[in-house]
Amino acid sequence: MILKNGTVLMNGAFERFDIRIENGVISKGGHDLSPDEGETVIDCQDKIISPTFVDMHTHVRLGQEYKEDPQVTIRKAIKGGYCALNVMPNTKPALDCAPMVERMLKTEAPEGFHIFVTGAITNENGTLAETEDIASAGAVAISDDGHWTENSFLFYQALKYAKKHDLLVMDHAQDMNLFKSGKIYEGKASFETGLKGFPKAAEASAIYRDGTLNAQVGSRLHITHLSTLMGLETANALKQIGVHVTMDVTPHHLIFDESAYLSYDTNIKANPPFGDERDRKALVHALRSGEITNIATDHAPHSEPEKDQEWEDAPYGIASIDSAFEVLYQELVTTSLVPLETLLTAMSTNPAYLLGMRHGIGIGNEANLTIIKLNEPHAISYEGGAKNNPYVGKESSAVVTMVILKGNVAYEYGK
Amino acid sequence: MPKKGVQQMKHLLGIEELSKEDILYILNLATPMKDIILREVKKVPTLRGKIIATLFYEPSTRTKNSFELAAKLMSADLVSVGVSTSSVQKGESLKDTIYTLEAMGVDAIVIRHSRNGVPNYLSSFSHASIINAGDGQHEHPSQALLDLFTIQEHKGHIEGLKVLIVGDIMHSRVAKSNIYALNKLGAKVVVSGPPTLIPNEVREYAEICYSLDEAIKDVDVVNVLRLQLERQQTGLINSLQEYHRFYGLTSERVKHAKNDLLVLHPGPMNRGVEIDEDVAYSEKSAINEQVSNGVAVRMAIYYMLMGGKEQ
Repeated sequence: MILKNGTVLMNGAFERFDIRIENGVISKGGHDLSPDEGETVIDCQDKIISPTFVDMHTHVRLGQEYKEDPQVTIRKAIKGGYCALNVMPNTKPALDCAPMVERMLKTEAPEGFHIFVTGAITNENGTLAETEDIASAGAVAISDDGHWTENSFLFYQALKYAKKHDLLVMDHAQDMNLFKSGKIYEGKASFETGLKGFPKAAEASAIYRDGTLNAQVGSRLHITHLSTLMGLETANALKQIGVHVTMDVTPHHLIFDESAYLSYDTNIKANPPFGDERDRKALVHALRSGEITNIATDHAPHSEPEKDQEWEDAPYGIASIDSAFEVLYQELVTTSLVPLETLLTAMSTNPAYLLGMRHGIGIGNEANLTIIKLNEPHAISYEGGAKNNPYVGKESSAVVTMVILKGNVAYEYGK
Repeated sequence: MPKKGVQQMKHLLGIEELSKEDILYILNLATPMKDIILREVKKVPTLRGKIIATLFYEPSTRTKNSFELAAKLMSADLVSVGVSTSSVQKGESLKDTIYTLEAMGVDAIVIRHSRNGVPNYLSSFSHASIINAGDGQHEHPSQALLDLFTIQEHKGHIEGLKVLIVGDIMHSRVAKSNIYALNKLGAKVVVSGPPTLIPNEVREYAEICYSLDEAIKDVDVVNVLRLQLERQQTGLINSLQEYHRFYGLTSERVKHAKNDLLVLHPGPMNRGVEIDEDVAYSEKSAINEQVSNGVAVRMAIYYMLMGGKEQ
């Protein structure tokens, strides 16, 4: 197969060349590649070719299929331009032991689609899960996502096990005593809606504890779904003193601020909550500057009855893996806030790197490619499964037209 | 009497959505409504053929009875849903409960709920008028309107007055609705209470004065909020005794206030905590009057939302 005349994202910059794919692998790059007899040619004139996206924070509802069937999540992910998910451990039962990790890894998926597994840090007894078993079973990360690991001593030990097995430690950094006292961050919106507020320091103080613990261990600490300016500054300060800290941010924290709560729309109810306009702008700026290297969707599907009720009783979560790129392109790239190269890199090769996945456009790499057409205005559509996607119906001028997984066309726009 | 704009209003969700003109319109309507209550025959046919349902998910004596009495005085038919005896106990969702009431032909639903924004949520799909009778820590518009009506009766006007609200501003929907309404009508608002119960964001609407002794000196009205006694368990106040010493409206404190100070309390009172008995029953207090004004104001609300349409 030859992809002809595409604008290709390689090493963070665009370049025009043709790509040949053989046996599921990128075999050649160059100008004016001529097809062999019978070789498929895909015209990529006026299209962007990016390494497929990698979502490092996905809730796959194993055991809670009524929220969204895992197969639907995978299909939506591919439609959104993804070739990999990193599954959070809060499935039912939780991914807190080797057999559950193995079961999750066996999830059926198209060739070239990768399922990564994040095991739990602690189990339901409040002690450490069998971290070494979990690592041996194939997990690439550990996390208590949805909750912070409150017990400092246990988190310290978990960092040490993670270091031995080179696991990424994904930190839902949020002081639980503060979080439990509210629903959204304290501020103008909590005052006006009556929704109880908790201080934003809940994030920064948790990052500080975990960062200083990691200063003594040197594990790969990753702050997921960063939401506040204070949290960002705390993580940056830790980096300054040599602590290994990386960060991701979700599409919704880049798009919404607390004023969105005034509508009491349960589809934008997520944890961590949205900060104010300053927080949001700081996150966008940090993505642009490279302080934040990753975008993760935190895809969290819920059923309609769960979301269609009183705001405070509805579960937290936004399910947007099928439209994350389209909405971010519209909100950040067409507004010149973030360059397209930065957005694509933060969604593809950067998260792949943290998950230990060889990825990117290079000879010998698995041919996982997302082809994008710009200047194609359309309304973001509902793609099945959970309906808690606040972007459905919004306009975007970029569309994923094709997804190639291991050399095969896994998705084609309009087909 | 009919005023453009106001007539189109379908729901009463909160004071924040109302304009100054809307508020004045309701207050003006409440005066003739109060005359009806004082008549020998306390009944008008205004809402004959209309059905009003009250749906209270939180305990209430005065608000619920006040809304129900107001409906009866205006000849509406009343469906009073007892949450503890209804299908709600069988796990019926709020949405289905509303659909059920609509299927019965209900024209207006008066809702009280512990969750914030429930009236807003209901208004997104309900065909009936939704009237907020208190939602979480968000708003309690009819209480604010009756407080303003009472103030206006005593002072003749609202604009230019200085009104002090004392207590748990953070969790009080009464405080919030009052603050919005007083701001819109040009009164100056001061709030007082423990630092743990006063949110910073209130500064946009009111002056904060943590010392009640200071705050009480030059205000025209003091509205004392009920203290939810469970605040003590959550660490927000240290003890009821300490609260009373610093934020209780005592006769000693009232002595340092203006002579014509007007004392309000939305009820029910914790006597000896946020207010002393001798203050609550003094001539400065309009606490019982607030209750009768509540019926008049709720009649005005019904009239605004359901009245002058077909008649």
